Amino acid sequence: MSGCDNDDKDTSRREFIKTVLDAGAKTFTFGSLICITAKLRLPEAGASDGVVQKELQMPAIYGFLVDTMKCIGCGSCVRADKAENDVPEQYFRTWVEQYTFYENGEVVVNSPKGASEGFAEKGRAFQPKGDEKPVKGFFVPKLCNHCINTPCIQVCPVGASYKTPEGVVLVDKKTCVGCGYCVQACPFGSRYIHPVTNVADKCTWCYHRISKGLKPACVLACPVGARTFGNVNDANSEISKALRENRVQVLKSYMGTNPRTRYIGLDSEVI
Amino acid sequence: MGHNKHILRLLGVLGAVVVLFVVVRTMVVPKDFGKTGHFRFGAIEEEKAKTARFQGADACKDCHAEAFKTWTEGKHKHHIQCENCHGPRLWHVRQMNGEPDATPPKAYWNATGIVECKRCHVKTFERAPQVKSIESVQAHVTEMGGTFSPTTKCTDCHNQHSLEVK
Repeated sequence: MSGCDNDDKDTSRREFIKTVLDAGAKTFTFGSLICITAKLRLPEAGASDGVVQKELQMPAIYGFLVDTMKCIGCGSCVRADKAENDVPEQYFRTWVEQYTFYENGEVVVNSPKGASEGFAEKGRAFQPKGDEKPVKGFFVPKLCNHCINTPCIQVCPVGASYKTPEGVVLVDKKTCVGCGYCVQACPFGSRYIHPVTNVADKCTWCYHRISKGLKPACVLACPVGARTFGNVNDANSEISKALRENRVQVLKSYMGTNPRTRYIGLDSEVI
Repeated sequence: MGHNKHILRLLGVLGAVVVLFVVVRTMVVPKDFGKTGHFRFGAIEEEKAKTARFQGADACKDCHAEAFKTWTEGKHKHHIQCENCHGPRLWHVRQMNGEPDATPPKAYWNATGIVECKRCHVKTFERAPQVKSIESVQAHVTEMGGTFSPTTKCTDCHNQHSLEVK
């Protein structure tokens, strides 16, 4: 214990602080040197006329806007999506939910066959007992939210879920092993395991169409223009205008996934 | 030195495992994996390669000029595409060309002249008010002074493309 007297302790502490500060200073100097070099390099790359300008141009980032005030619940989007993408029966890449508010405060959600046959006034699967009268109601079309912070890509163990440069979340069907982690991770229920191929499947915003300049099948089929799709980086696109002119929300913002699919006219009851 | 033999052997085994791992990994992982992120880059092109089935109303007008004209003059223009009731054009073209696998796997459209109409136009409480709605086909036919029978279709009275009353 004799070697641990106060003097020695102080010395070692002093030395320790000295070492740390020294290392810190060195790191800082080195770091700032790297920063300066990087800063110096940037204009160099830009020197050749116009090339960098072209590279720095904003790439297309897609966005989707759903106007629940316009949706009439006809299910055209669901049928179009199923035909375009071979979605198996009882599975849905997009579907429409019917929210009904009753006199007693009860809120009921129906979505018979994902609304692929539309909604009928009679024969609802879920409704309150007794003779409650509906006081308010609307339809909410749902689809993949193509989140910026994607839980589904994070959990994929084989790198089969990925994001394209345009921000579209896709599944690589050849790499997917069908473990279903992403199906569980998605807070919106947008994914399913395809019963035939046994790999994860989801809404692609019709990537094969949008990459050719076409609208997604559901947007094309919607008779009331409740769905808007486009490049949000282009200030003149239909969606940019719609996003400027409306107050929009996202589903389950508390999940922190930052969805690229946005909604007009959501009530707090919508989940 | 004699005591080091088993350590060397162990190192040998470890080395072999590492080499095997690297060899198998290079064989199994596709070459374009990780090019722009933790995924196979080629998958993007594969997704793009699919053919679009819905092609919009303008694609139909060359062969169906008359129906197209009626549709353009009617109220459904800009709202209901041809393919909403008749199905994707791609399948239709393939069927016309006599391709064997051209039949749609499941028809969500039969152009029955009543089912499609009812999805939008029969009253539902939640429906936004901008669409004209009827209580039921029977009530509508009776109100308009017609005779309703179970086989009554909307297209009995309305033109299916312009929606005008015949």
